[in-house]
Amino acid sequence: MKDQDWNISRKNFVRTMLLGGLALQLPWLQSCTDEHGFPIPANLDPLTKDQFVTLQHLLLILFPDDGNGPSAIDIHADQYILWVLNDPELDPNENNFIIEKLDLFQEKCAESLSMDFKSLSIAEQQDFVSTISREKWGKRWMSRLLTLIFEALLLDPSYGGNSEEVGWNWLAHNPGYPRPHDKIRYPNILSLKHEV
Amino acid sequence: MKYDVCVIGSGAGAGPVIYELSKEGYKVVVLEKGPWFKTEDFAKDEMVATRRSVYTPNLRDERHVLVKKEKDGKYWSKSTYSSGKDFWNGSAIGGSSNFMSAYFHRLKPVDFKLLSEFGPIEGANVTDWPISYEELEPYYAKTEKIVGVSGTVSKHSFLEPRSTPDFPYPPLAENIFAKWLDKGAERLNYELFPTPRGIISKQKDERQSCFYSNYCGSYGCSSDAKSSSRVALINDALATGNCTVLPNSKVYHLETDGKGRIVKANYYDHDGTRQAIEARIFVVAAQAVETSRLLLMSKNEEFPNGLANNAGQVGKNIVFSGGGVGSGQLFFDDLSEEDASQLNTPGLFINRASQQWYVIDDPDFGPRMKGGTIDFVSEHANGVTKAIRQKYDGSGNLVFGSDLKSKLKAYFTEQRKLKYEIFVDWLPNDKCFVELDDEVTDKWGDPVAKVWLGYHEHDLKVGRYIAEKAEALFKEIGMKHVSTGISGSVSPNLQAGGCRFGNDPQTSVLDKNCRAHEVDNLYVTDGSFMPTGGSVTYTFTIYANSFRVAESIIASLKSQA
Repeated sequence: MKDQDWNISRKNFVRTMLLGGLALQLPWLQSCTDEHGFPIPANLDPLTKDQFVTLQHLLLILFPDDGNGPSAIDIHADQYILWVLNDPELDPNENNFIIEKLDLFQEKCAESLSMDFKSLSIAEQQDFVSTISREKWGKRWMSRLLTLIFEALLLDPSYGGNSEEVGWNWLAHNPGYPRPHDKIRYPNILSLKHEV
Repeated sequence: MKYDVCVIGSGAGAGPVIYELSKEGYKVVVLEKGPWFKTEDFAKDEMVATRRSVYTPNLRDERHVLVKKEKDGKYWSKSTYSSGKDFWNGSAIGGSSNFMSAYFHRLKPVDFKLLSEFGPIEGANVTDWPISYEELEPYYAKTEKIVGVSGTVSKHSFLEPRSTPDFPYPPLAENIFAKWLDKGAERLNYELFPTPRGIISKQKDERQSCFYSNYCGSYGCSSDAKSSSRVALINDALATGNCTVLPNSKVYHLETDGKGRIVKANYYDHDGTRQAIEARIFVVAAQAVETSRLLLMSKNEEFPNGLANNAGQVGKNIVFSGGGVGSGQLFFDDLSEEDASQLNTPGLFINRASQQWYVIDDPDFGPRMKGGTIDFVSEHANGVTKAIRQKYDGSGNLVFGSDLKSKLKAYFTEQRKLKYEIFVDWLPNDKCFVELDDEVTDKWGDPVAKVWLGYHEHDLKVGRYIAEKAEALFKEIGMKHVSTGISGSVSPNLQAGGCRFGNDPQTSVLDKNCRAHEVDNLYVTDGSFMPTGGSVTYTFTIYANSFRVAESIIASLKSQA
C-alpha cells in the first residue's frame, strides 16, 4: 500500500469509528451462523468465508470451550481479529502475515492430511496445530493469534471482546478505573483535538 | 511575534524552564511534537496505554535505527519499524513524565565525581560533573515542593544530605508485602527505606491525591497525582498568560544568524506545513536521543557538523540505565487467607528500595567501586501483558488449548509476582552514541536517529552483584521461582547524555549552566547534560537541574535587558 493511500485509509477508518460510536460493534453485526453454529458476521472483509470459518476452528483449538472459562468464540476473538485486520493504523505487513499464513496453514493441512482443517476431528485438529506450532512460521503466526486472543479476552469490552467482562471475571482481573469512554477509546483518541 | 524563550519539548526537562520563565513575566512558546492529552482524556485502557501507538508515534511515521551489540561482540543495525521494538517514550504535552512510574531518588554526592572517587575504567569515558551535589541540592528540594514528591526520610548508609527534614507529601499507602520485605531485611541486616515517589499523597491546589488505581506506569494519571510536567508545571505556566503551547509541532532545524546565535526554530505544524518561531533564547529538551538528533540536523555553514558540534561531541556518550529486573512468586496456598487477601489487594504500592550497595566496598569482589540501587515493585497489572508471558513453556514451545487456559487461570488467580529492579551506572563509552541515519527518514523526510547501544561489561558485573543481594532477600521471605535477568538491554525511557556539560569546550557541549559553549542563546535542559547517569532513574534529577538552569536563563535575560 502506498503511503498516500494508507493515510487516506487511516483517516477514513478513524472517521468511520467516530461516526459509528462503539469501535467494533457496528461493522460486524452478526447475520447468520455456520453449520457448526458459529456466528458469521455480515462483513468478513478482508477474509473469505472459508478463511474466516477456518480461523474460527483454529481459534477454538488454541482457546477451546473446555469448561475452564470462556472459549475464543465466547470472547468474540474471531470478530476482534477481523477488526484488527481492518485497522489501517497497524502495520499492513503484520496483518497480511496473518492472512497469508492462514492460507498456508490450510494448504499444509490439505497436503498432509488431504482434508480441510475444519473437517478434521478435534483430536486431529489439535495434532495438526501442534505440528504446525513447531515450525518457525507456524510458531510466530500462532503466537500472534494468541496475542490477539488475549486482547479479546482482557481488553475493555467496548473493543468487542471480553463480552460482559467474561474474561476479567474468569481471571479475577481488576481492570482499573476510570474505564474508557467513546471519545478516548482507540482509535478515536488519535483524532482528539483540544483548542490551543 | 518574537518570544523571549522558545522551548522545544515539554517533558521534565522543559517544564521547570516553562514554569519559572512564565512566572517571571517572560513570553514563552513551547513547541511539542506530540498531541495535547488532558487529564480527562486518560482512562485505564490497556489498549491505548500499551497495545497500540497512541502515546507514542506510529512506527510507520517515525522510527529509530538501533545498532546493538550481540553476545559475540558484533554489532547489527535494524530499523525499529522492521524489528517492532519501539524506542519511543511518551510523545505529548508533558512528554513521558505523563506516563512515568515516578521513582524519585536523588543522585548522591559521589555521583558527581565518579572519576575522582574511583579512577578511570578502561573502555569507559567516565568524568566528573562540573557541579557538585551541594549545588543541585536546593533544586531537588524545590522539585519536591513544587512538582510534588511523597515519601519519608529514613536513615541509611547512603542517604544524601538534605536541606529539608522530610518530603512535603507523606508516603503513599503500602501493600503488606513491604512489611514482609522489612522483616526479611532485618534478618539479613539489609537497609531498606521507603521509596520516594513523584506522586502526591494529598491534594495540592487542583491536583487530587493518588487514588490507587492499580495502573500507574505507562498510564496517564486521572487524578493529577502523578507529578508530570503537564499538571505540575505547564498548567500553572499557562495560567500566567505568558505561555503559549503549540502541540503537534515538530522542530526540524534551528537556524543561526552567522554570528553564533539561533534566530529561528523551524518546525512542521499539525498539517505538516513549515513554520518558524523567533525568540531570544532557545531551550531544547526533546529527550536525549531526539535532542542530539535535532542539533545534528541543524547544520549550516557555521556549524557544518551540526549545531554546537564543532568539537564533535553532540550525540556522544549517550547513557541509559544499566542493570536488569528480577522476580519471585508468592503462592496464595502458602499463605493464610488474610495474608493472601492483603497481598492481593490491588493498587497499593510496594515502595521499598535499598541503596546499601550504592558503593561496593567488598574486597572479595574487587576494588571499591560504584554500585547501585534496588527498587522493589509489583508486577504491572496489565492483563494482556501478563497473559502474553504465559504463551511459552520452559523450553520455549508454544502452549495452547486447555493447557494454556489452565496456565493462565493459575497465574492470575493462585499467585502474585513481585519484582526488583536493579539500577547501576551505564558507563559512557565510544559505542553508545547517536548519529543521523544515512538512509531511513521519518514521514517529513528527515533522517532518523541511529542509536548505537554499546554497553560496558563492567555494568553487568555490578548488576549481578547487586541482584544477588535482592535474590537473597526474596528467598529469605519465602518467595519461589526467584530469578534475575541482568543484561546490556536498554530501557528507552531511561536515556541521558549526548550533550555533556563540562568546563572544557573540546570535551563537552554545554557549560556548567547547560548553555552551549558554541551558541550563546542555546540551552539544553533534558537529561542530555548528564556526563554520567548515576544509579537511579533520571527524572527527578532532570527536573531539579532544569529548575537550576531556569535561574541562569532568567539572569541572562535580565542582564540583556
